[in-house]
Parts: sequence; structure tokens; C-alpha cells
Amino acid sequence: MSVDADADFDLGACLERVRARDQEAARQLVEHLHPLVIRIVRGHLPRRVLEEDLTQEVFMKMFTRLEQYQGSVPFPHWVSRIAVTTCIDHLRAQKRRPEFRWADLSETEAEVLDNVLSDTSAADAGDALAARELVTKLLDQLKPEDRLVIQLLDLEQKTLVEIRELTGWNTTLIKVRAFRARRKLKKLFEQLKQKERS
Amino acid sequence: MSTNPPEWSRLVSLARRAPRETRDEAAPYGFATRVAALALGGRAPWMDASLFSRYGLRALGVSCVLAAACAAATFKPVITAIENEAAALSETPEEVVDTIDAGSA
Repeated sequence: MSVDADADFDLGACLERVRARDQEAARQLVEHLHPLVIRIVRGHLPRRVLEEDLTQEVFMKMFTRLEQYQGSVPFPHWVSRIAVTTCIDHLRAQKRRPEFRWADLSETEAEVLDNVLSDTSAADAGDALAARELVTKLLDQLKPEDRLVIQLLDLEQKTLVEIRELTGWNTTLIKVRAFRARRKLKKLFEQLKQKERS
Repeated sequence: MSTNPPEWSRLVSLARRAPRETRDEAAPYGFATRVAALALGGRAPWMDASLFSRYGLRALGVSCVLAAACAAATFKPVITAIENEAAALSETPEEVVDTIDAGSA
């Protein structure tokens, strides 16, 4: 069952039943929203945190704060904001971000990075997977909020409006965070080029 | 909005070509039941925590007021009892006086 596909699911009625402390309705609500939450959690999962634990935490927060939901935004947006802030809290709790070093890269990753730095195109599927790994490692160097914005913008190609709906942040804040992330990435690439030369 | 560093743009466009995740997005078996039971059923740890945070400080305040009231109510009898005890101790019992006299003779 997915949020997009399941049009028959009566969310309003289900929420009413959950508010009346109907456990069966709560179970249905969790099943209905699970695909939405798991996508966010998988996309922003901190190291050493189990996706099931984080998903459960998101749902527990959702039930705890259910009385605060006023209906000003669609319920799935409201839940996705809880998921996003929960992931950011966990990413922030990691405090120390692992240093990005050439020595820690696999052979393919190093090759892809080399190509990217020297403007040669790399193309096969293995390179794409290595590139995705590299992107994750580079994103780990950013602040959690900046990381989330740049990941949604550049990797998932979401629009500012979509990010605003997903996070609840205003457009200016999203732009500031994207700017900060890009500045940091630029600095990182400069450092990597220098290290490569040395 | 500022533009991406070219290296990042190249890397990210390559990363987007990686095959999409095919993992199941449905809730694992029993997950929804467990979460629903935790949230609406028995007492979850987060509920205890919120009860403690809600009533903990209030209970501390009430217990302080009660302790002060008890001390105020029992202050006079306690002081009187201590004074009586002190007075009784200051009087030397007759048996002791007799013993001392017998010793000196």
C-alpha cells in the first residue's frame, strides 16, 4: 500500500478513529504512511542507525503530536516534516563527521573522482554506483540541514516548492542552505584537487 | 540561487544514473501492529517520560510545602520536649548523690 497509489484510503476517517484511540486504525495509518516515511529515512539515514528504529521513532512522534495537527497542510506533508526533522536530529547527534580522504576510497571511486576533477566523462553503471557512493561520502561532510537541501535539489531533483512542502522551511532558508552547501562543496573539491596534485 | 561547482554537477549527474533502489517500501510484518500497540496501547517509555516531566516538578513543590508545614506544626512541641529533657538531665538523681557521698566518706 503506498500513499500515492492507494486513493481509496480514507485518511480523514482513519485519523478520527486514531484520535478515538482505535488501534486497528492506527495500524492502518502506519501501513499507509510507511512507504512515504521509509523513503525519507532511507535517503537520510545516519550511520549506525537502523532504518526500522528510526521509522518507528517517526511514527511514535506522529502519534504523540497528533493532537497538534491542525490540518493547515496535508497530513502526509506533516508526517514527512516529522520524518525529516527526526533524521536531521540523528544526523546532528553524530557530531563528528568522518573526514573525506583519498585513501579511504575504493579503486573505482578514486577513478571516478579523478575523472570528475579532471573533467573527463565516466559512464558505465559501475561508475554510476561509485559516483553515488562518492556523493554520499561528500554529503557526509555537510551540516545535516545543508546536506538534506542539496540532496533533495541535486540528487533527487526536487523543486523548491516540493522541498518547502517536505521540510516546512521557507524558500529563502532553502536557498541559503543550498548556497552554504555549494560553497562547502566547492572548498572540498579544491582541497581534493590540491591533495591529488601533492 | 548560486550555481553548483562543476565537479559536483558532473559527479551528481553521473550518480543519478545509478539504478534506483528496489527494496520493498511496505511495512515489515508486524511492524504496524507493534507501533500501533506502543502508541495507543500499553504504556510506552516515552509516555512515562512525559508524565514524569509533567508532574515531577509539581510533586517536588508540593512535597516541599508539606515538609515546611509539618516542621511548623511540630516546632513548639519538639522544642518543649527538648527543654524538658534538658531540665531533667541538669537535676542530679538522689541515688547518684548518695553514691558520691558514700564514696567521699
